[in-house]
Amino acid sequence: MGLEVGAVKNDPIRELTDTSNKHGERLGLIERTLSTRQENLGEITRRIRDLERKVGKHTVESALDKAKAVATDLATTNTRVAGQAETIAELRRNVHALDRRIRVSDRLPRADFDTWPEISPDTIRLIRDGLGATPVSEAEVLQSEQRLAEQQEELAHWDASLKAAREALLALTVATTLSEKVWRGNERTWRAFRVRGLRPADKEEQARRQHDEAVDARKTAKLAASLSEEADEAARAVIHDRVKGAIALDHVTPRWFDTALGPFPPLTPERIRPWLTVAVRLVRYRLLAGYHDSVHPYGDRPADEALGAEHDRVVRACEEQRR
Amino acid sequence: MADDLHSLLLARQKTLRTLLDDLTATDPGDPRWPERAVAVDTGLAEVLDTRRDVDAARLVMLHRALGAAAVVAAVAVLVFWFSAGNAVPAGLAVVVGAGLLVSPAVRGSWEPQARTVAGVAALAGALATPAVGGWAVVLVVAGTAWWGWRWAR
Repeated sequence: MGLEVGAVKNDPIRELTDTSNKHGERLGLIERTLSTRQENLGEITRRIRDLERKVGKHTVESALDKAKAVATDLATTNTRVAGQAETIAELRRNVHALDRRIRVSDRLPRADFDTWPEISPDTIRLIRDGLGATPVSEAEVLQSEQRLAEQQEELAHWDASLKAAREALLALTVATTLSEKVWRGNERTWRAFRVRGLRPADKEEQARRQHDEAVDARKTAKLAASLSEEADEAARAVIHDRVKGAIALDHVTPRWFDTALGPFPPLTPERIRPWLTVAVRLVRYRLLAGYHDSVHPYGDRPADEALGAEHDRVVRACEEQRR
Repeated sequence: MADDLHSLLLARQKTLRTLLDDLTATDPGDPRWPERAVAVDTGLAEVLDTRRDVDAARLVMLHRALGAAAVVAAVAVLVFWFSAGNAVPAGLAVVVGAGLLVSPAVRGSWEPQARTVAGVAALAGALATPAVGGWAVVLVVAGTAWWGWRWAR
């Protein structure tokens, strides 16, 4: 056994073979490791290339370029839209002018909104008075009522004082006692009555008259207001009927009417009623102001304050309708 | 005298009643109303004057007695408790007592009772002087002032 070991120990070829085998194995191991690393390196290189490609596509510069392009497009679009709007407005005007010409050439009747034989000058004056009238105030009536109540109260006090004084004196005419207290008390009651002076009947009368006058004035003002209101309603009804008829029959409306309210009445059902109301108001204003210009709808603001306010309201309402 | 005054008072009360009835029968808006009211004023003043006279006649003896008592008490103070301080209330009480003894004509509707007050105050002041000294003058002056106040009105 010991020999065998010694024989093996002393075999150099075998030793060399073992050593080369070992080295061969280690070499194989190193080669495998190397090839794995190489694969990893290839992978990393590929990824880096991918990343480089991606970053290259999305640079800031290219984004800015895109934004510029969009802005340019927008500006172009805006210009085109504005141009088209102008064209549309021009077209509207042309259509309107053509419409008028066609209607006129068709001998369609023209609507007359300037002569109103149904509305008398008296009615117009009445409506104008109502326009300028201050609203009927209850304050004066209430004040005079309060004054009257005060005077009546004073009168009642005077009467009560007279009654007390009379009773006090009556007691003195039958008094048999000389007690100073009783006499002095009753005398004082009489003197307190006499200090009041004469019965303030004339003051009460005056307060009553003033109250009656205030009540009459209020009544007159209310009557005038209601008369004016009635006249106004009747006039509005007449104007409304004529304007509505003209619109319904496609009559050619006056130029000032179109200028104020736009070329056509609105086609949506919910807008036609307010439009008609404003149209009636415009015609009514011209009637009240006595304004008959064939082109300008309202004219200058009148000096009269009430009429001036109505002018402003009409102008505003027409502007809203044209919008 | 007293009976005369009493019947005068009754007569004037009756007159006042008539005047008052006249006034009551007149409407306050009547032009005669003011003069009738003035007539009632006058009637009332006469009634009050008569009542005052009756009252004065009723109280005259009491006033004289009070005056005499005040004078006596004040003189006693001057004699037995003489001092500069005591002389002031005692002297004033003598003056008031003498006034009551003389009994001048009444003036002002409510004077008779004010005389009684002044007499009592003078007597009380004189009697209190030995005890409280010169301070008794306050009492005497108060009574006298009350009399003067009623006399003036």
